[in-house]
Amino acid sequence: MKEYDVIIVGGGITGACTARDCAMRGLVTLLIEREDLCDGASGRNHGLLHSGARYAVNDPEGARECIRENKILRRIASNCVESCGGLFISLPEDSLDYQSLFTDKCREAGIDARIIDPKEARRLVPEVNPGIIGAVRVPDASVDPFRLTDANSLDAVRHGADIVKFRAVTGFVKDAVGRVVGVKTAECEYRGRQVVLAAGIWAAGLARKAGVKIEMMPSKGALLVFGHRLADMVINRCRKPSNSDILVPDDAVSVLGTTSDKIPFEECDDMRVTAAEVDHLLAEGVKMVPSLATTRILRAYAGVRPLVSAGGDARSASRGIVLLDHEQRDGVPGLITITGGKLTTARLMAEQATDLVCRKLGVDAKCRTAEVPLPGSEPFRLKRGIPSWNLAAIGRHGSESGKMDFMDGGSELVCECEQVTRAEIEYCVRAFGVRNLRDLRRHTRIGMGTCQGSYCVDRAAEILAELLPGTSARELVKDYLQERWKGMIPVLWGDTIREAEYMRRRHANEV
Amino acid sequence: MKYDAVVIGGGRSGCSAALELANNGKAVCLVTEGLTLDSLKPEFNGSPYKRLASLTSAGVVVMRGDSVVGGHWDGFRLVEVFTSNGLILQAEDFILATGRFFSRGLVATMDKIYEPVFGADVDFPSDRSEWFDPDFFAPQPFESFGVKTTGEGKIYVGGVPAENVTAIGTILGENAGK
Amino acid sequence: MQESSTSRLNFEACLKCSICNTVCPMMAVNGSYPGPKKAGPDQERYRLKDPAFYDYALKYCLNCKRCEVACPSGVKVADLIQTARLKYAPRSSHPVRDAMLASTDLIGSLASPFAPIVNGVLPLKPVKAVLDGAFGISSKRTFPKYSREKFVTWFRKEAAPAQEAFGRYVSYFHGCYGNYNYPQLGKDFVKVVNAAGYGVHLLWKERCCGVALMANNMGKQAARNAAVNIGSFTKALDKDEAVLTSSSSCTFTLREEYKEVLGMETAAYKDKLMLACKWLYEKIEAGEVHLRFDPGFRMDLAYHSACHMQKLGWQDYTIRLLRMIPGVSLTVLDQNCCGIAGTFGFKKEYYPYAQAIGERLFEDIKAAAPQAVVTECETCKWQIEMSTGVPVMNPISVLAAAIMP
Repeated sequence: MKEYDVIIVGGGITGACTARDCAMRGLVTLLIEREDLCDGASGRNHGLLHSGARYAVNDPEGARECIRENKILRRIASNCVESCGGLFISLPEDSLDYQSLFTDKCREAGIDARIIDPKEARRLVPEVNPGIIGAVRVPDASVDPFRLTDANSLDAVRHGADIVKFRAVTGFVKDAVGRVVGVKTAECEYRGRQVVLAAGIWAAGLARKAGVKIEMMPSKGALLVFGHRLADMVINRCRKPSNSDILVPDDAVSVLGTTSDKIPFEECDDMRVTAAEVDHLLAEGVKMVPSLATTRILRAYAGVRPLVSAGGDARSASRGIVLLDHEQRDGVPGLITITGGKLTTARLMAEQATDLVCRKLGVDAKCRTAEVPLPGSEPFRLKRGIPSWNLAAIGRHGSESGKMDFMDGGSELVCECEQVTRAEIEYCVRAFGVRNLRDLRRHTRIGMGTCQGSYCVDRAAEILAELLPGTSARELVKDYLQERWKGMIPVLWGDTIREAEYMRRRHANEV
Repeated sequence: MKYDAVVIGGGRSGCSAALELANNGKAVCLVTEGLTLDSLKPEFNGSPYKRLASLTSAGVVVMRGDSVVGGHWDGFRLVEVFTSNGLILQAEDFILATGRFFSRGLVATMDKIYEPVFGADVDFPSDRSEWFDPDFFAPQPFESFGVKTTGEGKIYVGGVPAENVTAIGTILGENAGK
Repeated sequence: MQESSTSRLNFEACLKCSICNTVCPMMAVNGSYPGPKKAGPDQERYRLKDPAFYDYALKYCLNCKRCEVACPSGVKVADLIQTARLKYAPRSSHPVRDAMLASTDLIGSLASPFAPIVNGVLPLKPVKAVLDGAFGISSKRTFPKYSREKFVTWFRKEAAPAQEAFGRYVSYFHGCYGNYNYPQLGKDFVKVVNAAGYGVHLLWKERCCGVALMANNMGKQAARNAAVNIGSFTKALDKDEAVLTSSSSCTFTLREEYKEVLGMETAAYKDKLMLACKWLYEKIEAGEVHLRFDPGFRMDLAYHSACHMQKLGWQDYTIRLLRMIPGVSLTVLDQNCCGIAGTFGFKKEYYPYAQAIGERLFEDIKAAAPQAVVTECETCKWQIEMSTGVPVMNPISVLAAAIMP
C-alpha cells in the first residue's frame, strides 16, 4: 500500500490548494473527496474575489489577507479571475460617515479605495441606483471557483499528487498510541503520516470520528442568479456588512447574495432556498440595482459557510482562517484541521496548513504557490482558424485550451447559452474524470445559462454517454434536470415558469 | 376588419377551432404571436408554417407575429380587439386559445397568475410554493392552473361571464372538461 | 417586484426553443451562418461580457425578420443582430461598394440627370465586369433603371396645383425607388388617393428611410436621415390626416427600426404612418371612401407578401383591397423569401445565397404563371423580375390601373 506523507480530506478550494502546495513542496500527497471537487460551499458562493474592502472596518487582518491574495490570484490564475473592479455605493439612507471610516480603514489595510463622484459611478455602471449619494471604487474582482479548484487540482496532479473522488471518508486509522495514521473509506484504507481536514462545515463531523470536538456553526447563504450581466463591476453596499448587498458579474450572468442564517447540521447536505429568502434578497438587491426588479432570475442556490463558533449570530462570527493542530489542542497527533476563511484566501489557508504539515514531518521546503502560475494561466497564443464560438471555452480554460481538439467536429456547439463545444467536453472528461452532467457542468458551465439545459441536455448527454461507457444518456438527462429543477423552483414565475413548461414538455411529458 | 369569429392563439386548439369555423362557412381571423412548440413536431415535417398554411387555404385569415393586446367591451359583450401591429378586429365571437405559460396565455409573477389579454379570472393557489412539485418528473401543479369558464366555456372577467368569449385548449388547465 | 421581465430587445425572454432557426432562410442555405437564436439572444449575453464574442458570420443575416414573426416569446431577434452589427462589425471589405449601394438617395440624385446614359451603360458587359471585379457587385445582377425625371419634379410641375382643391390631405413618403427609379408608382399613388377624395402633399423634407444604410452598418447616417424624416412627419401631421407610403420596407423601417435599432422616439407619428393599402381599406370599410373600378378591367395576379410586409402583419389589407376589384383573379403565394434582402443580393459574395433562398418562391411563381406578381417591396420586384421574367407591380399601381378613368 502506498504510504502518503499527507492525506487531505475534502476537495473544495481549500483542499485543492493544500494538495497543490503539499505536492509542490515534494510531499507524497493524496486528496480525497466524497463527491466531485468543488461540490460543497466552494461551488456555491458569489464567485467574488474580495479586495478586502468588505472586511476593512470589522476585520482589518482579514482585509489585509484578502488584498494580498487578491493580487496574487490575479497574477497566478488569470483564466479564473475577471479583474472587473468593484463599487461600494451609499444610498440616501446610508451614512457618508461610514463611507469615510470605510475608506480610511481600506487604506490602512493597503486596499486602493477611491471615493468617486456618484455621477462617475453611474457612468461606470449605468444600472446602479440613480439616487446614490456616494461611491467608492475598490479592486474587487470576479473569480470562477470551479475553474480555480480545477487549476489547483491539475497542478497538484502535475506535481505528483493523487486525487480520489467520489469516495467518502468514514473514519480514521489510528496506531497503538492514538496517532492518526490514515483514513478509512467503505472500500479501503489510505495510510498517511499527516491527515489534513479541509472539509468545510463537514470537518466538524469528521473530527468527531477522530475523537476531536470542533464547535462549528453552519451558516446558510442563499443567492440568486440573474440571466445576464447587469453591471460590469461588483456592486456592494457601503454599510456594515449585511444581507443581500453584493451583486457580482460572473461570466454571462449576475449573482446577487447573500443571506446569512444559522441552520442545523442536517440541512447542510441538501439546502433549499425558501420563498422568504428570495423575497428578502430581491427586496434588498433592488435598492442597489433597481433593474433587478425586472430582470429574469434563472435560479436560486445556497452554500454553507463553515464558521467556527465564537458565540453570537452568524454574521458577527469570525470569518478568519482557523488552523487547528489537534496534537497540541486535543492530544491527537497526525491530524490537522484547516477551516473558516473564504474563497479569496484559500491559497493562504493552504500555505498555513502546509507549513504546519511540513513542520510536523520535519520537511524544510518553502511555499511557492504565490509565484508559480496555475495551469491555464500560462501565456499562450490562440491557434488560427478556430471558429469564434470556441472563444468562451478558450477563455474558461486559458492556456489549457491548447489541449482541446477543435477540429473534426470538435467545434460543434453543444450548450448554446454558455457556448460549450464538443472539444471542451471531451477535454474535461479526459482531464477531470466526470461521471455525469452535474460534474461536467462544474468544469464547463454546461446548462448554467438561460435554458438551464432544456435545449441542450439531450445532445450533451449523448456525447457524454459516448465518452463514458456503461452510462445511459436518458439517465444522465434525468439526473441533471432534477438538479436544475431544484434551483428553478424557488423562482418559478415569469420567463422561468415558461422555461419550466418548455423543459417539461421536452423532457417530462414524452409520449 | 370585420369577421364572424376571431381566434386568438395559433396552437393546436386555436387552429382546429379556426379550421372548423371556416369549414362551416364563417369568416375567421386567427391571430398568433409566434409559432407554437408542437409546430416543431415531426408530423409537420420540419415546416412549422404548414399547419398555418393549411388554414390559409381553408380561407382563414392568419395574422402571424401579431398579438391581441386588449379589447373593447360593450357591457359583457366583446366588440373588437386590438393587436400590436395596429389592427382592429371586430367579430361576433372570440375564441381565446392562447395556451399556458410558454405561449403567455397565462402569466405568473411572484404572487399571482393572470390572463393578460382580457384579465379573465384564473384559479390558482396564492402561496407560490404550492405551484410546483420538487420532483421534476412528478405532475406539476402549475400545469393544471387555468381560466375559469361557464358550462358553455365562456370566460369570467371580474366574476361575470363574458357573452361571446370562449376559452379552449390548455389555457383551461384542469378546468378543461368541467 | 418581478412583475415583468424586461431586457434590451427582450433577449432574456428567449426560452431557446429554436423555432426561429426553423424559419431562417439564410440558415437553410448557408452552413456558416449560426442562425438567429445563436446570433441574436445567445451571443448577446456573451457580447455583453466582451465584444470579442462578436461573430463575423452575423454579416449573413438578411434582416428579413422572419425569426421575429415566428418567435413565441416576443424576442426582437433580428434587431439584436442588427444592433450588434452596427456596434461591433469590423470594417467592410468593400467600403466603397457598400456606401454606394446604401446611399440610395445620393446615388439616385447623381444618376437621375444622366438616366439614359446610366441605364445604357450599366447593363454593358465590360461595365459589369468592372463593378464585379473592382467593387464586388455581382455581374449576374440586373440593375434597376433610373428615371430621367424624378417623381418630385413631376409632382411639383404636374400635380401639385390640382391638390389644393381637395380640402383633406395625406402626405406621401415616396421613398428613393419611387423618386429616382420608378416615378410611375408615385403618379399611380396620386391618382388613387385623389380618386379616394384626398389631396396629396409631399413631406417638408424627405430622406432615404435608411434601411440600406443600417444593413451596411452605416448607423450614424441612418440616424441623421431618421431625424430629418421624423421632423417632417411631425410637421405634416399638423395638417394632414396621415403619412402614407407605398414601400413595405420603408414603412417597416420608419415605424419599427427607428425605435428598436436607432433608439429614436416614434410614438408621435407611428400610428398615423402606414401603407396606402391599409389606410384605403380602413377608409372603405368605414364607408368614408368609395372607389369605382372599371368593369372592363381584367387581370390575373399573384400576391407575394414581402418579409417586412409579414412583419408589419398587414398583408390582409392588400389582399382584401385587390379582391374588391371585380376583374382581378388573385392567387396568394406561400410566404417564401425572395432572397435579395435589399442590397444584400447585389453583393458578389452573397449573390449565390440570394438566388438559392429565392428558388422556392420562383418555382411557385412559375407554377402560378400570373400576368403579374403584386408586392409592396421594390427589391423583391427586382429579384422576381430578374429571376422569373414575370412583371411585378405594386398594389397601388394595380388599383390605379383598375380605377374608373
